[in-house]
Amino acid sequence: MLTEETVLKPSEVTVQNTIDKRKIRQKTGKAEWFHKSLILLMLLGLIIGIVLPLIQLFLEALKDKNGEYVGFVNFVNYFKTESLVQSMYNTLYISILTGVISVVLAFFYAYALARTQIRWKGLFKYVAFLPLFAPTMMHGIALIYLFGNKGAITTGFFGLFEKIFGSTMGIDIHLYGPVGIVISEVIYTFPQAFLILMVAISVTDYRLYEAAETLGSGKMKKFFTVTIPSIKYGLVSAFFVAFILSFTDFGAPKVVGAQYNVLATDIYKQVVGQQNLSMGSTVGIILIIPALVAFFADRMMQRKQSTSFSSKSVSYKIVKNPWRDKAYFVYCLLISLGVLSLIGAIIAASLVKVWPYNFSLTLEHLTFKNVAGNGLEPYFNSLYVSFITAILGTIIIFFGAYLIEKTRFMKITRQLSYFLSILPLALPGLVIGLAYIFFFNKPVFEVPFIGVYITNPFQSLYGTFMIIILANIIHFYSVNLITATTALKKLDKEFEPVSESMNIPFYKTFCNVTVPMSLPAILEIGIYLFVNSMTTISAVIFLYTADTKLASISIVNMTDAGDTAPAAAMSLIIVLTNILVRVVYEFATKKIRNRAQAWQQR
Amino acid sequence: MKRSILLITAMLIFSIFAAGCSAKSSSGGKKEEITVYTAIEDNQIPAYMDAFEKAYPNIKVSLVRDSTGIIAAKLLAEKDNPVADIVWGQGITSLMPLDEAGLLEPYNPKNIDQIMPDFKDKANPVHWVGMDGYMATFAVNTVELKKKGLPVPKSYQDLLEPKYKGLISMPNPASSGTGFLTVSAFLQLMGEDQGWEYMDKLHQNIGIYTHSGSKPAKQAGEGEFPIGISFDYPSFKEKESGAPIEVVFPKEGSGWEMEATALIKKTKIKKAAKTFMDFVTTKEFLELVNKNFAVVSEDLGNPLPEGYPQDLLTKQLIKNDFQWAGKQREAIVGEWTKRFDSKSEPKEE
Amino acid sequence: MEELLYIQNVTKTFGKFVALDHVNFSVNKKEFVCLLGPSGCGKTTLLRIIAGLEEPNVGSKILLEGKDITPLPPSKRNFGIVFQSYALFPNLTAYHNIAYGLKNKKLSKKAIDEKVREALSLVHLEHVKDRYPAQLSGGQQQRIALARALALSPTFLLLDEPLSALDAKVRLKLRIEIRKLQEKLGITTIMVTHDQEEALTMADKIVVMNNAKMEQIGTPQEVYEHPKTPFVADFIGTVNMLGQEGSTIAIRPEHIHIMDTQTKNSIKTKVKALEFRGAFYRLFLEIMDQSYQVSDGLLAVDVPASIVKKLDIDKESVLNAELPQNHLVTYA
Repeated sequence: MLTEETVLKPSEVTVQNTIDKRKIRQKTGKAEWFHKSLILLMLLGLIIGIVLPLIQLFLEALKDKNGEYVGFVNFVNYFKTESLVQSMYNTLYISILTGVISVVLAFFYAYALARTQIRWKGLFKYVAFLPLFAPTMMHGIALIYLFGNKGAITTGFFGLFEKIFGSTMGIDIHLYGPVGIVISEVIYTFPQAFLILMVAISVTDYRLYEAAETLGSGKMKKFFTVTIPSIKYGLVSAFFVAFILSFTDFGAPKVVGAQYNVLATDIYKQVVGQQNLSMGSTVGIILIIPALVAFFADRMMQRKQSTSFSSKSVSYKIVKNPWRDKAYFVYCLLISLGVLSLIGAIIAASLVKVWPYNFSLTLEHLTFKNVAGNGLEPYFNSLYVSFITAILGTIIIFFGAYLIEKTRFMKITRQLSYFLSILPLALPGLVIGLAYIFFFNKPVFEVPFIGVYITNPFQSLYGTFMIIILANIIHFYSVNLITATTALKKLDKEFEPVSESMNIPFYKTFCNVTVPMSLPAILEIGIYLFVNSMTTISAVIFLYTADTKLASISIVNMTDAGDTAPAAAMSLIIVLTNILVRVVYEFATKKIRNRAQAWQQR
Repeated sequence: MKRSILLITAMLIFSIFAAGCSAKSSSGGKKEEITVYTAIEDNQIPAYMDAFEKAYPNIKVSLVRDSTGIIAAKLLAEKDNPVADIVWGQGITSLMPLDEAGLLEPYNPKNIDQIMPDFKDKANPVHWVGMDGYMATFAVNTVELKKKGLPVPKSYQDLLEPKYKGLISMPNPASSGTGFLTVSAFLQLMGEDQGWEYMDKLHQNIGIYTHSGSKPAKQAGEGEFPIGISFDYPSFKEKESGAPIEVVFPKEGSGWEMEATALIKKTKIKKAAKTFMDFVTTKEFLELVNKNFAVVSEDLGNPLPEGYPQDLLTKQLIKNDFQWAGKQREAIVGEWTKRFDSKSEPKEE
Repeated sequence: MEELLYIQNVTKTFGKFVALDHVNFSVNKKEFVCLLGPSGCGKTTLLRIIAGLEEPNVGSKILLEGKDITPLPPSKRNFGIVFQSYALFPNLTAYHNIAYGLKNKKLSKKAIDEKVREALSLVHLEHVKDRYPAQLSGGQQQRIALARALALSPTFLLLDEPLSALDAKVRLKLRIEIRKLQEKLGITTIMVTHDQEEALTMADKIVVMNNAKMEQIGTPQEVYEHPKTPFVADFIGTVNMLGQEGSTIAIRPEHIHIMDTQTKNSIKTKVKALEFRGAFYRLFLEIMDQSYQVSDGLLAVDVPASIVKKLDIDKESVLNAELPQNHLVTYA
């Protein structure tokens, strides 16, 4: 058959027609099989750990109290229930306010540390990170001791000021309610916002300032035309992080929220209090939405930001300015004192007999006798859970990142795994916990509409430490996956091909090169998992049983029962443990980290 | 060397899994195991459990403790697949709806005859058996009130005075048995309409609603909210521990609540569960309870502790219609939640 | 000459994008072949397909000594590879980098040691064996990577832009050294480069690629002297493209003769600019004859410095340029 195409040169014909899009599949050796099975295993793990529980959560939200599917009736009911809708407004109000305050405070703090010549920078930096070591309930409890009706500041140091100055000088900020929640959340989110802004400010190109200078721009003008635009992504990112954290936090509203309801406490109330699982999951899904929006917005921002960086940035040269330094020093000092006074209040409350009537010292609260909770047992449970989470989580997360980042086959599987791996970033802990009770406590799964039943092979995990550990790993998966991925990206991407060319199985190069080279990141992940497992409350509050109670949960129980001093004592023990672990880590791993640093120099 | 590292890692991972998964069953052995849900105050439990374990070392008890409301909700939620064998020390008004839902297993414990008639079920065999009663009191911080120049309130009516605005804390009836007995007493003492009207007014003076019934007493002790509508046990306890507390029995009479125990209906009733039921009706056990509660289900002949009015049983305690309260519980809590929920502490189940 | 590798109909698509389009060529034993082309032409993809690091489309074939190795994973192909980044393991010393691949070969410790020392001596780097990559210069790192690839005695060697990360001087030195080593060992080598000078100086055979397609294969002389397509002519060396009567003529600057007298083949031009290049000048001439169109506007001509002096050439000088027939390449 002659067509026009026969006129074309033979080579052109082949271009148009004979490209077969199928690829030649390579024969797989033992190591490749093993490698590929691990990738599949990872995807399977992520599906079981994230996707299936979430599906179960969604299905639950479509059911009524008796387990019949009713469509979106629960959502309609939600928006008809005034008090629940009010909670949503409350939550938005709290989170936006927290985001703004936290970002503004953190910005000037970071600015002071990056762009001025104040003293004590190291100290200020450590203090800024202190709140990371504490459960959010601690901020609330500390605030009660400072600003509650009988708080040190409200009463002018229990009338001490009155004796000295003739006036109580007490300040009543009406702590219980939005004020208390917002202050707690600001403290909680401050370190994260500070960290993001510190990085953003540090990488601003000094040449922009030089350019502005040559154009004769004044200080204010430089600030608004150079400083702010160059860190605007950092500012937005910090805002989103603070927003999401406070939007989904449970600890602080639980302790100082009083009559002020938020979504996080609503879920808890619906699920644990009224055992209304369908409404609980409905609220859970509503809780995901803004987090999801913020998550995608932040992702898009970051993508834009990475293009606006120049590798040739020149670092900022600090100009001498004593007055500026003095102002910023005072500012940093005030914030640091604020943070430290929280810890101070907690220490005092833990050691004082009857606040505020009998200030004699006692260790009684640290024994946890005769109070809600189970003595020190939850603390040891927490240590156990955090330790295992750290070890198991580090292995799983780092290896997962390795499989995604450093493999040449199964691209689609790996892309899917990556998406699932960063999805938990948008999942509040409460939602994970909730999804887990639905998924792991179900004896039989019913596949909707087709009437197939599958026995749940994971049900035996319910009520064990393992499910708590699993929830923690998933809860903190994304942040650490990003840490791991960043570290892996710094390694030459040709290590694996070179090893393959030498017929070395991937796991050998993983153990001999990848792990030693990434050791600092691996250790950092371990520490992160440990510290956060010690403090987290949101995911685990639904998953504990009498045998698996954690320290953070016992803090909630104790504050519920009015045992505030022991609750403070438990918070203090958690903070001290975390600080101790961090300090030991810093000293013990210094050599390892220095060595890895030396290797990485080119 | 590398091999040994690999081995250690593998062992570590294995032991983690093993430990993680076996956390629940590690202490299994030959012991018979029962799960007990209880709303008894945490600090009372150790003494009771010590006595039980001493008497029955072969029975392992897994305790799940929470507030009355939560225990009830949990049992209802699990009704198709019950976990608990026993519900212990549960407020009677929230035990009755469970009985009505058919969750309780009738059983006559060994010492059922010794129990006072008011403190056990009318059916035979009984569906539940009481262990003690507790009653509404105010825990009032005298130092704080003195500072403010305010008198100690003596009656429910006193609490409505505007000068106490923001100073009162009260447990939420949805989560707390004390909260419910208080609300139920208002309604029984004043009649429904007036009762709600009273609470509307009281709401204006409330500083905070709490999750548990003992927290108002403790907050009064700390001075955080100097007037706590609570119950007798924590109020006296707070006073004992040195806080400047005066325990007030309201003039109108105290609402009260019985704590009772019942077997949960299951396909297989464990022998150990029955043993536990027998235990909670023994004199030895009730003697222990008597240390915490002025009123227990058997007349042990002990005098009332100091601070209690002598006419406690005859006059101070109101005539409490548990049957009515139990039946109306859901409606009352629902109405209360609708009216006052948004002023409650976050966890207000 | 004996054929070692045969690349047959190799095609590779990434989604809709065609990275390689039916590429065919063969590599003889002991031959040094350069894959030359601009970035994005598919040369690196081709190298990775030969290595087995990418899977080509169905229909592609790679034969090694007549055997189809297309479905084999890299580990079964027995080649050595050096990447642009060298991919030396930073936490292993030079010695252990080289020993790394040998350890998997069930050799005795002594045999390994011998082989490592041999490889080190090949690249003259015995003295840096205990250093970590970070402590080596770029050139040293490159040679250690080479030694590592050679230590396993591979059937062929793949070099992926091995010199592009080095500075100019080291690059020149290593060009010679790599070529010498290749000749000494007689190892078949395929090197990817975008540097035409590198390809011309090192290769036995150059495969010029553009836009996923092979443009020309030949010895350096062949592709330089007789570029088959305008692309090749333009990519390798400098070339003048002239339009004349509907066809395109290519000629290199050094092939144009400059005379002060007019001949029958010469064209009249005027000097618009001249650049001093040491041994010669590059003149940029404006063609005064309307029948020629130079694609760049000006005709580039390389003239020995002595002639420039002799003819006293300067801006605006009028010169006769002759385009020798034997150096003209005409394209349809």
